[in-house]
Amino acid sequence: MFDEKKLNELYRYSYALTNGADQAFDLVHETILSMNGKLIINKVAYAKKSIRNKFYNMHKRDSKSTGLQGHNLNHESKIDWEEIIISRNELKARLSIIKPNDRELLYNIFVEEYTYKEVARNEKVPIGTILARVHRLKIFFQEEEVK
Amino acid sequence: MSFQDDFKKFYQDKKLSAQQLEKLSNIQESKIKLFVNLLKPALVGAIAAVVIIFTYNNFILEPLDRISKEVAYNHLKNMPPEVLTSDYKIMNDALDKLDFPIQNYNEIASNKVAEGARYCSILGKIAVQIKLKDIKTGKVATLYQYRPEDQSILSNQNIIKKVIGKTSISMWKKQGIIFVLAQ
Repeated sequence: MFDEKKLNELYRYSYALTNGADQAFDLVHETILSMNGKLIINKVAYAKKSIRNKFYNMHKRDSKSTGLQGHNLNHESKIDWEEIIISRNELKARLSIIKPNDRELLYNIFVEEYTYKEVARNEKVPIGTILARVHRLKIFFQEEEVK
Repeated sequence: MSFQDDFKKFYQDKKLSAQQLEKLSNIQESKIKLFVNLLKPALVGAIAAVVIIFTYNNFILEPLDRISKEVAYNHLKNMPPEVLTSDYKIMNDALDKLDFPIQNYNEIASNKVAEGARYCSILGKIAVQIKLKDIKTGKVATLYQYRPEDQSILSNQNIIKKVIGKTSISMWKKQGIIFVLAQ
């Protein structure tokens, strides 16, 4: 069903949601087991959707809203991702702070290379919501140290 | 490196271990197994349908209904006679495996003439079918004769009439032999 490349693709997506190696593996494992016996056309897309649903079902309370709502949305200067310089350890630390749906958002933009419009359509929210979340994330990652 | 590149690399470096890959590969269903699993409900359904039809035909349907259905189906097949004769003596001599003598139908209905006869079976028992032609209309009918093991399925006094599809069936018993006329 899935070769090594596809299994790693699912694992990375799962990792972006869970932010933990063991949880990511368990989620992929559970998803593949649940797919057995079903006739599925686009297996990778189905598996990702299944991983996402399973994850958010387990973490309903802490995943609905972004954890960065306290950040100043009216940040005056326009921030570009290109300008943000961050060490690997700092990136890891900050990824563990943000909510799963924000990690997923960044993963979809930078790894899956979806456009903001595509992300908005997939999440069924207005594009403005996505842009606002991205803006908050830029501010968060630009800050000099994690508070 | 830009933030995007750092982010991308951070996740691209996340890989399943060889042990994890093996575990995930092992739990994946092969295409053959998936095909078999998908076929299972269809197979169970087909077997159930066969069992229901078999039970209905052999245990629920009354013997006379089963005879009517079998005869109506046989009549429509319009099989050619093995012995082409209207002489019942020749028929009896030719079809000598029957456990009863073929009765002359002309004694009952003079308007129909025999064209020939052949072996057949009714409820698994050897029988004879005689092709008859109406002298006036030219319409073909088939007369079946057989001796049932269970003599209680039809009394000598009764004439049973049934219609199966477009075929009308008349059934009666005389001297232990069941006659079935399909037309």
